[in-house]
Amino acid sequence: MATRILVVDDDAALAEMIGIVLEQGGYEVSFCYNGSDAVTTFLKLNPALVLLDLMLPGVDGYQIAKVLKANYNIPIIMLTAKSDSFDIVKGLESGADDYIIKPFDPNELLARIKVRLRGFTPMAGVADIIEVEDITINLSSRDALRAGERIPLSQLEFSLLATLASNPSHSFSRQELLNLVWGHTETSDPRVVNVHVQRLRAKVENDPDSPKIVRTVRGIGYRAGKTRTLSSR
Amino acid sequence: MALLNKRLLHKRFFMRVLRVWRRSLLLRSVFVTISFTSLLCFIVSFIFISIVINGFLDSRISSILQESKSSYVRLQNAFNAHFVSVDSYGGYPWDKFLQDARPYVTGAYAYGLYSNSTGSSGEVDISIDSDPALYTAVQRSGISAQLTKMPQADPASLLWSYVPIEDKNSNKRPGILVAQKISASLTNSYEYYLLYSLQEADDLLGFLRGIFVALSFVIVIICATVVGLVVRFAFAPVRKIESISRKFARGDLSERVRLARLDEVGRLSSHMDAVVGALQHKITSLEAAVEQQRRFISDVSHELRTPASTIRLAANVVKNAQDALPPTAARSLTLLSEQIDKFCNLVDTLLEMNKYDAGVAVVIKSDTCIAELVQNELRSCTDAANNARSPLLFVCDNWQNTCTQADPLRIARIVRNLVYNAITYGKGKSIVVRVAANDACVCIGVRDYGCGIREDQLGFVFDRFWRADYSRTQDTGGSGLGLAICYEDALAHNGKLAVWSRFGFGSHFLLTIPKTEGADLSSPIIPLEPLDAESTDFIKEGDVITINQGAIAAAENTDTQPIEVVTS
Repeated sequence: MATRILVVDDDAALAEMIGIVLEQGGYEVSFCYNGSDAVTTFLKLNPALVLLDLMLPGVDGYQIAKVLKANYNIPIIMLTAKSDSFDIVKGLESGADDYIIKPFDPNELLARIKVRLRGFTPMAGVADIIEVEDITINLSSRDALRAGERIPLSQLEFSLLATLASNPSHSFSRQELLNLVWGHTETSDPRVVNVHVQRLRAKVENDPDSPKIVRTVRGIGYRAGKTRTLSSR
Repeated sequence: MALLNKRLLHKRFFMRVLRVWRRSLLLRSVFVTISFTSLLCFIVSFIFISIVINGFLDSRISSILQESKSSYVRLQNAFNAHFVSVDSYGGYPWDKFLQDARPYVTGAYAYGLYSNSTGSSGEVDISIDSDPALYTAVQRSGISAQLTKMPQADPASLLWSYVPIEDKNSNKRPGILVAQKISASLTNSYEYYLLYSLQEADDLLGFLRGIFVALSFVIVIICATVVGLVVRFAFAPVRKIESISRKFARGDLSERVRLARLDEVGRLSSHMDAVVGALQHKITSLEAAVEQQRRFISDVSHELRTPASTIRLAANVVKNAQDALPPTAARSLTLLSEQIDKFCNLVDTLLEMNKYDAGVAVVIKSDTCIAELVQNELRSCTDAANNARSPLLFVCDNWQNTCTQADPLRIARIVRNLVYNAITYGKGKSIVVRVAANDACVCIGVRDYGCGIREDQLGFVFDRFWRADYSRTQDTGGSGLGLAICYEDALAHNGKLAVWSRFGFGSHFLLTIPKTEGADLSSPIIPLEPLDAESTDFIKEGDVITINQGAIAAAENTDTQPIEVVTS
């Protein structure tokens, strides 16, 4: 069975067109044309990813993103006609993993969806279990544990942490992370990274104000804290 | 040093006083009132006192003269009576005579008789009276000389003069000296002096002066108080108007003066309120109109995006089946795709411009490494540079120093626009992007060696929809808003975007971003006029990163060999 994607957009023509593109990309597509039905449709269909328009009749995209993120840990990509950084950051803070600005390139859309569904794929030769400070990351079971207890990370947050931890000696620039974690090919808003790093820190750091696990490298970007490789593939 | 400080302190104090003086109408009015009233009081007192004192002196002097005349007559008679016995004794008993004369000189402070120095008796300066004050007064007045010139004793002609009376302690008081000749015989005469005190006149003068000073003081105080109160009262509404009009000047038109007065000030304030009200109304309606228009543009742009997305997606889907299309349809599809891209780009730029016009453009600054950002941006320009066969070169001196607070998206957009422009007008020659920074600012210079801009056109470069060369650039796909938006982006960073260009030698666009607020941008670390202004292509220098390897082959043909060096 093909992966199901839910498209929430009030513009029927665009939704249909997205549907055609996604079906060509090998996905199964369902539609929802207003905000108030979005969550119920989501529950009924249980898709793997949601493409969410922000300006919707009824409940707006931000609130839907908030509900979905809080309860179902599902990858969400916002579709937005607003290119304002403010709107983008607001969308990301509501729970979206990524955003794509209308009018978008279909290949870009497919690439982003692919990366979001794939999650983190470790590079060859990277250890299976990595310890960063007091956190243990298991790349095959996609778990992050602290003192044996599972930290509830979203797929995106896990990918971000795993990417940093898999090459701890390297300082990643925001653009690099955008390419690796989000699959962005062109220059996009690096604040996407900032928002998610903050969110990740809130979950994994003991003291988010002085981060140890996801460290800031001034003028460059981020890198992982003290890392130890436990087992190699 | 201390003296200088003191002088500075004095100067500062003086400046402060001057400032208060200039700012306060009340202070000035009171001061002017005090000065004028004082002057007036002084003049009036002076005139009044002069009149009183003169009158008093006149009457006093005439009574003194009257007195001295009668005493002279009596004395002369007494003298005549004694005269007979002078010769018989061989000497005159002066002491006795003076004692005898005493009753005749009433009211005088001192009196005396001197012998004439040229007299036949040969007696010189017989001081008859023991009072030295008289002697001094006589010496001072010089009246003796006048007396000598008088022909003979004449009761009608008294001589008199003001003299100070000096007592033993050298205290001086005003006095009057009356002189007359007394005949002793047909040939001999004596000088007879009377000294009167004018102490009363002096006392009166002092008394009057005291009275007038006190009176003047009271008058001045009253006047100053009255004027101060009047000014305060009259200017209280003016001060209110002033404080509210200050708010008007700052652009806050919400308040009104609202004075419930029917006088001139009240009318002035009500007129002012009316003007401001009208102005506010006008501004509000204009603002609303502008806002409406801006909203309209914004809504249109946003609304255009959704169908544009659909068209783009549709074009792409059809493109995947391009091979099956007949050639004309395939070509039409290509044109459609290209134009939809251009259309989307235009909508984006229009929206951005609209935001700047409305003043709602949000600049979200973060710690940004400009050098890295520029390098990334240049990497994404390689295809275009390769197509134009322009070597794209990057020079950066101190990488770490280029980090500053900036909006990365906007800076990237500026760089992208400038580089695409350079590629478009670069005639396939090198494009050098230079990043440099000092403590004050970060500079990004984009230099091309292409056609350049005519001098008469240079002033319009940052205007909207301006194109360097209409016929040539229609096919480049630029929106015509690129540089205009770059300019706004630079301003949004408190920065500066400047251009240097020489027709035929290329152009140099220089973006300067201040690192701190209020940094001096007048002398950027990269000069606006490039050092190689006369060159027609880039000449190899120190540390250069070649961004597009593909274009190097083209560069090698033109004797320019960029070398790849990774800078720190």
